[in-house]
Amino acid sequence: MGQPILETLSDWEGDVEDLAHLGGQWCAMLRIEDRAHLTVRLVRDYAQRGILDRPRREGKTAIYGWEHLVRLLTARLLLRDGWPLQKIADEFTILSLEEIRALLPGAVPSLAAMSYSSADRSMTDPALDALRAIRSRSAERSIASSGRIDHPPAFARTPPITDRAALQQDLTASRQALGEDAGEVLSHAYTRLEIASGVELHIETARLRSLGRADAHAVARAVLATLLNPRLRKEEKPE
Amino acid sequence: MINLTITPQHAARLEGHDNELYALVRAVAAQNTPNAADGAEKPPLNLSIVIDRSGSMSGQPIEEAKRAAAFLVERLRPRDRVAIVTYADDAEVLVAGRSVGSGVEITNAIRSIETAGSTALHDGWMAGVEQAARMREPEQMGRVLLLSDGRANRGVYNPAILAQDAARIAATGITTTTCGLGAHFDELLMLEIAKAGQGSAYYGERAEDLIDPFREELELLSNLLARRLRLSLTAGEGIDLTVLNGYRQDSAFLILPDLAEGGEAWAMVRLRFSERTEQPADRLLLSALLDFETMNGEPLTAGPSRLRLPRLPAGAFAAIPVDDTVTARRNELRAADIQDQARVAARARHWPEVDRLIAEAKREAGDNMWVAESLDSLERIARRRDVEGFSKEAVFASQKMRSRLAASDDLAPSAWSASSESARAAYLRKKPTQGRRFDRTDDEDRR
Repeated sequence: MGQPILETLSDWEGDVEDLAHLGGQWCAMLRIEDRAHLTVRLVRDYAQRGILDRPRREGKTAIYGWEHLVRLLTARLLLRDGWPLQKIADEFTILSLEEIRALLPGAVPSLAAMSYSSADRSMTDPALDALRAIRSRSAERSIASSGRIDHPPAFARTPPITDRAALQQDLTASRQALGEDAGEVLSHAYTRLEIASGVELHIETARLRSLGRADAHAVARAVLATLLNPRLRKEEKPE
Repeated sequence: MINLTITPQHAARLEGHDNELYALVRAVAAQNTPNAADGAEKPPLNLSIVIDRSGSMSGQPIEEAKRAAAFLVERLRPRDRVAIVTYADDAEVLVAGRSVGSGVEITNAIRSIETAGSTALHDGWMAGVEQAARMREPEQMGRVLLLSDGRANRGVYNPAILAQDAARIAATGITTTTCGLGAHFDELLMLEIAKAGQGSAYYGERAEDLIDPFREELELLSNLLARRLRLSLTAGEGIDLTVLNGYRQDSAFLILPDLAEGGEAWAMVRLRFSERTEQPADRLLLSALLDFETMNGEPLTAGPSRLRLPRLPAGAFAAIPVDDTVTARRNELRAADIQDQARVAARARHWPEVDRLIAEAKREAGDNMWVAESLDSLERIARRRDVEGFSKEAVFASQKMRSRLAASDDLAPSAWSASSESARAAYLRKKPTQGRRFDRTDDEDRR
C-alpha cells in the first residue's frame, strides 16, 4: 500500500505474453473489463494498428514496457466508452503519454502528488501500531494462560489486517466521518468539478461550499481508498 | 504562549545553615494566547466514549451512564468526532468514529444500550483507542473516556500491564480518561490507567454523580490550550532536588497535566542544600524548561526559568514573608499523603488509625478550607465504616490535591467556599467530595 497503482509499474518490462497478462489484470482491477478479453493476439493487433508503438527487440523477443501498458489500458477504456479503434489510434498519435495516462482512473498524476502521507495517515497512525503490538501480546498471553480465561478474548479472533481489510475499514471510517452510513460507494451524478483533463469530482454544490479541512481530508481518504481498491466500488447497473 | 515561573516559599537562602526550600514551578497560559476565545479555530475533538454494559450496570447505573453520554454528545460541536464503544463479554463498536452532525443518530444508538455479561475492560478500552486513532487527523489528539463500575475480569486485568499500555498509547497522542462508578470498581486500577494515560480520573459514588465528570471532561477538552507538557528540572550544583507531586516521568521529563484555559499546571519541588560554606551570591538553585505542543501539534518550549535568591543572615531571613500559595499547595500535598495512609488503614479496617490520621491531617490543613472540607467528607464516610467508599474518596481526593490543574487566579486558601468554586470552570473547581455531583445537597444525601 502507499503508491497509486500504475506508478509502481513505470519501469516495468516484459514480452507480449507478460503484457497481455498484466494488461488483463489491470483491466480487471480498474474495472474496465474482464481480464479474459486481453489476449496476446489483441496486443499484436494493436501494435499493427499503431495504437501501441513498435516494441523494442532483444534478439527474437519483443520487449514491451510502461508506455505500452498505459496505451493498452487506455485503449480498452476508450473502446468500452464507445470509441472506434481508428479514432483511438489517431488520438494516440496526437496525445502525449502523460495525457493518455491521465485518462486512466488509477494513474492520475494530481492524485499521486496529493499529500498521500498526510491524507492516509489514519492507516498508519502511530496509535494503531501501538495497538497492534498490545493486541498481539495480549493474544499470546491469553493463549499462555488459557487455563484461567474461559475463552480467548475478542482480539485473539481478529484476523490479521490485510491491506484490503484496512482499506475497507478506512473507507467505512472515512465515510462515517462524512456522516454516511457504512457501506459501498455508489456513483451519482452531481456538480462536476474538472480536476484535470479526464478527472472529475462530482459533489453536491451546497456541500462543497461548506466543506471544511477535516471533511476535505475525509473526502480525499475515501477517494483514495476507492481508487486503490476497485473491489470497494459498486457500479450502478447500466440502463 | 506559556509562561513558566518559579515561586519560592521563602525568597531567600539562609546563611550558615542547611536549607530546605520549597518552590512552585508554574506553567500558565500567556494572556495573548490565541484561540482562547475563538471557538472556530479549535481543532475538532476526537472522543471515544467506552461504556461498561456488564450485568452489574443494569438498572439505574446504565441509565445514568447513557444519560451522561448523551449529555456529552449533545454538547459537542457538529464537526467534533465521536465513537461509542460498549463492552461486556466482548467489545462492540456501537458507533464507529464519525462527525457528530446533529447528534441524533448517536444519541439514539446510546439509548439502545442494554446490559449483560462480564467486564472485558481492556478489550473495550482498546476498541475505543482504535476508533480514536481512525477518526483523528494525524496532528490532533484523541481522547478515550473509559467508564466502568466493576473490576476487569475478562482479558487483560493486570494493573501494571494496563498502565504500561496506557502510557504507550498516550505517547501516540491518544489519552485516556477513566470514570469509575459506585462501590465496586477498582479505584487504583482506574487511577493508574488515567495517570499513565495522561487523562483525568473521575468517580461517582452513585449513578447520578456521573454527570459531573462528563461535564468536567467536556469543559476541559473544549478549553485545552496546550498538551504534552514535559517539564525538565535541573538543580544547581550541590543541591538535592525532589518533586513532590508524584507525576509520571518520561526519561528526564516530568509529565504535567494538559493545560486548559484559566488553569495552571504546577510542580512542587523541595530543594535541600547547604549554605555553610562560601557560595556565590548569585547561586543558581533551580532551572526549569517546559516542552509542550499546541493543540495543532506544533512543538514549542517555555523557559528556561531560573531560580536565584539572595543569601540572608537568620534575622533578616525570619523577617521575609512566606508565599501563601506555595504554603497552601504544600498543605494539600501533605493532606494527600496522609489520606493515602488513611486509605491503607481503612482497607485493613483499622478505623482508630483512620480517625487519628484524619485528625492529624485536619490540624495540618490550617486555614486551607478546601482541604478541611474534603477531610470532613472523608470523616463522614469513615463514620459509616464504609471501606470501599472511603478508599475511593481518599484515592481521588489525594490525586486531585497532587496533580489538579490549579486555577490561575486561585483565591487565598482561607477564602475557599463551595459557592465561590461553583463560578469556575468545572475542571478548575476544588470539589469538597470528589465522588459526588457538585450540586448534590446533604438533603439528597440523607434520603
